[in-house]
Amino acid sequence: MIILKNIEKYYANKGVKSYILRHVSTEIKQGEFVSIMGPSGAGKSTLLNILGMLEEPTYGEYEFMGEDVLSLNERKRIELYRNHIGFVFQAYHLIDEMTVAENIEAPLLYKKVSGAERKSRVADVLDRFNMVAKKDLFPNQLSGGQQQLVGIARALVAQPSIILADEPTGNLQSAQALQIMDLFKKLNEEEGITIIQVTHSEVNAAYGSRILHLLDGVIKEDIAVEQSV
Amino acid sequence: MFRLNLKIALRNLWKTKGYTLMNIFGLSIGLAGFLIILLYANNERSYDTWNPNAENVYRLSIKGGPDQDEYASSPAELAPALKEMTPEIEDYGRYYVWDTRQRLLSSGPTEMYVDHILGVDSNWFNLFPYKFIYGAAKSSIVSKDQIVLSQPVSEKIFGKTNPVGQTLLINTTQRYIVSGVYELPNTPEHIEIEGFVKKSSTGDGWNNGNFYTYLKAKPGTDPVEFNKKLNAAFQKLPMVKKEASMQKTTLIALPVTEVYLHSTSLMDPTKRGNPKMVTILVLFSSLLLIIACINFTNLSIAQSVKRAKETGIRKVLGAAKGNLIRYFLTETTIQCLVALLLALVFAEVSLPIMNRLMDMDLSLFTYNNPGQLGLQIGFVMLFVIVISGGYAAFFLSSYEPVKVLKGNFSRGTGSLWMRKVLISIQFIVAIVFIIALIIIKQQVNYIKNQDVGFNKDHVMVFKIRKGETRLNFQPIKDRLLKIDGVTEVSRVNYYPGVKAMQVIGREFNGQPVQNLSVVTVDFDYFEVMGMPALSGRLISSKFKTDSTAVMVNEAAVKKYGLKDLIGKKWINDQVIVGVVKDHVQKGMEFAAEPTVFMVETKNSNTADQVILKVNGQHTQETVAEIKNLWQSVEPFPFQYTWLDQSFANVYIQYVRLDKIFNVFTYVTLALAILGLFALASFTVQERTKEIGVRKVLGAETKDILKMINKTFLILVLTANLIAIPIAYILASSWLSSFAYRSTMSIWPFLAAAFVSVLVTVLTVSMQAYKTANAKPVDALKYE
Repeated sequence: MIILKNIEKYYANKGVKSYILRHVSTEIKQGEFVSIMGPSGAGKSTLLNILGMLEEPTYGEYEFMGEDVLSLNERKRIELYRNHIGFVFQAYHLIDEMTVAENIEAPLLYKKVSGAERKSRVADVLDRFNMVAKKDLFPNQLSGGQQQLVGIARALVAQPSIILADEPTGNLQSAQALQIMDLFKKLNEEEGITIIQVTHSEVNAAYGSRILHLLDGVIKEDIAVEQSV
Repeated sequence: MFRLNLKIALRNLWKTKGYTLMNIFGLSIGLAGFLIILLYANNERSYDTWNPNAENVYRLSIKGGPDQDEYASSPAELAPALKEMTPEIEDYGRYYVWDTRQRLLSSGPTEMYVDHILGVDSNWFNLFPYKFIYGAAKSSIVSKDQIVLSQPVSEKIFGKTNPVGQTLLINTTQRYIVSGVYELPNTPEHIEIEGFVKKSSTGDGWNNGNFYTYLKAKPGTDPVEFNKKLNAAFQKLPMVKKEASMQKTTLIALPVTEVYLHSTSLMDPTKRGNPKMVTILVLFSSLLLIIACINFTNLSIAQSVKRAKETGIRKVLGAAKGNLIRYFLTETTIQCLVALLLALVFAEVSLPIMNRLMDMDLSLFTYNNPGQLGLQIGFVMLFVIVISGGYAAFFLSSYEPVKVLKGNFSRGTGSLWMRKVLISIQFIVAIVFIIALIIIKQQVNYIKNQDVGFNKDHVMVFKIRKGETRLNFQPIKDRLLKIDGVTEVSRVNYYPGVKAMQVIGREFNGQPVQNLSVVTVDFDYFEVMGMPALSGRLISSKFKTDSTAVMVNEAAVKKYGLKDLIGKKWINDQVIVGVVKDHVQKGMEFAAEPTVFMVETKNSNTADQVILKVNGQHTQETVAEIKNLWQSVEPFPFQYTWLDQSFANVYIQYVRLDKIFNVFTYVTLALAILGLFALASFTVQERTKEIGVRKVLGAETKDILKMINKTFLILVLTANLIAIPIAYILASSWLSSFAYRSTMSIWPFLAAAFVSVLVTVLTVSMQAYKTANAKPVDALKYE
């Protein structure tokens, strides 16, 4: 589903190139649950952003579902990730002025889903996440864990084939973090959604099927996780 | 989608109530100002547009030659002769100069003076098809004893009844029969009209231009072609062919809708608008509106830090730029519409004040052309939305989501630059306004205190209504002089402030004496007016020969070289006995015209205004006694004016301009301060962390204030540098339209610069002080 070839990203500063990513090549298949790990500054988030088409690499090739992403124009790219990618952020990034239901509905608006269908899908997701009672609340009326649930619900409502999560549990207490990770695992196993997460936590990484270790912009290790659970 | 956009936009606006209010308030003030001026400009441009024939009706004027003046009057014989030779002329109508005079109308006990009854051709209503409420246009002025009244006049005399067939006495003796009543048209007209009678002359000969001629062209006639054809026909007239000097003469047919604003002719009894004034006001009110829009933009951009996150998320969720632009424009549109409603309220509330100030009768909701106004407002709103929302929408929608979501809000220097430019523009406009205001004020004061060449205080003017009173004036004069408080009495026809003037052309010693204004007076006129003789002496009844003597003014001495002729015979064998100072007659725009003052004789015009000086003590009693005396002489209602009040009309429009500019300037300055306030608050907000760091490093509050102020002072000083030359050019071109003008000094410019700098420092410091004074830890902890 995703093929990266020789991805490089650097910033030129007064003639000196400071590399964020070097020679990153990998392939991620449909249905995988990949965790990207590494110390701060290793380039994890940048790699995720490139995967999510929020940033462009300086060099390299990126193929997403058979399309050469880097040769697409902005409109096509938006089209692509509108339909296939869901984002989950460490800081949730809900829109403060929108209610829970409206936040979840937002991606559907940009996909031009009809009103009736939007309603039913949002209702569906709310139901699945046990948040029907909270649908008219605003984000600042929710706890962190609940906000992240809304964030995931919002990512899921557009029925993406892949979820990109940047430290999804970084701002959460461990109990809530476990709940979120369980959810991810369930989505991965039951619905076959590809998940790529950036994380610092070995525990979280253990939920996945594969770990990419990044160090100074280079993939040091690419290991499959023993499914112990 | 739209409904959700609307909902979210409303919530956002509600959340930032303060900013929203500021946005809406600023914009509505700008809009209200613009709306009022729009109404004014529409009104000025709507003259005579009620007339369905307007585009085919022309007013004829005559220009003696390329370097001659243009006169609006023409001989009665001209129109029929032209029609004979020009098939394009469908019809013509004329009114007679000598029919337009004040009349006393009476029916039973009701009596009233009416100034503007025109003596016209019977077919006048073919050109000006008024709507008749009673009677029929066609048969209404066929015979000499018929009179048509305007509805207001009719209602004042006859009430709301149908007066057709009733008898009306004019000047207590002539019997007229009311033949029709017409409704006032819904747009103003270039002539003041209160009624019509049949004109009392069919023509005074080719040499007497005593008529005002209107031509109706066939529909579809091109105005330029029409003018050419008229002139071609004119040159073929037998009397023009005969006389060589006539061949340089040209005819000018001015569309009737343009007479009010664009007529350039002299001896023109029509109302005159000032197109320059319309342009100035429309220009400045547009500037005001643009300032308000800029404010709006700046306030929106200033808020955008808060909006950045939302924008970033929306983008990540799949919003394309277009979605976001639409969304932000929705938000702007809501605010603009609310501002429009508020502006309508403001305009409606301030219109009565404006009407009083400008002596107009404008209204918003009973406007005579609501379609036009609606369309104009629609266009303006579209413009406002694009101008005020456009930049912010494009600016906000082009955030890069990655940067925003990482909390890195450092926008490019582009937007900051843009905002600085916008603020500078606001200040440029505000400074130009301040300078303009000061210069207008100076000029108005100058005009008011200008030596007008005569003493206008305690001078009373009233009209003589009967010829016999005038012919036997001396005993009445003696009686008036006996009244306690009356010091001097005389008569005159054109007293200062009257715009009409008799202008003659003669020859003296083979030299032409062209364009000489003639004022007919009685003895003692110069004593009443406090005009001493500069050389020679004043005309006096003590000298028997003075009944044919004349006085001239300085301008005449200069133009015709009369220096050596004082005490000697001049034109018409009349002796120049003395010279008086130039005086202001028509207004401050006009330099004094060469004028001769002659005592009334059988051959001169009539001096039909009594002018008398009172000593200013016990004025009320004096006026009462004059009234009693006069009514025993002429049994009509007594009407009088004071010269200083009637003379004030010559500069009233500038006093009004001054007042309007007062309002404009304060509003503009307030809006500029609002904009500055927003930008300052934004800058401070943006630099909170920097300020914290600097304080930790040992900066004091005053250092911080200095630092923040510096940025803004540079802006304002730049604005001054740009504004001052603009203001200078505008002001000198405006001042150059006055013959009497104040000299421009450096003070208005310095004052404007000072005010702008002071306002900036105060506003910015107020904003910066709180942050500069806060504990640095709070600022740093925030990250």
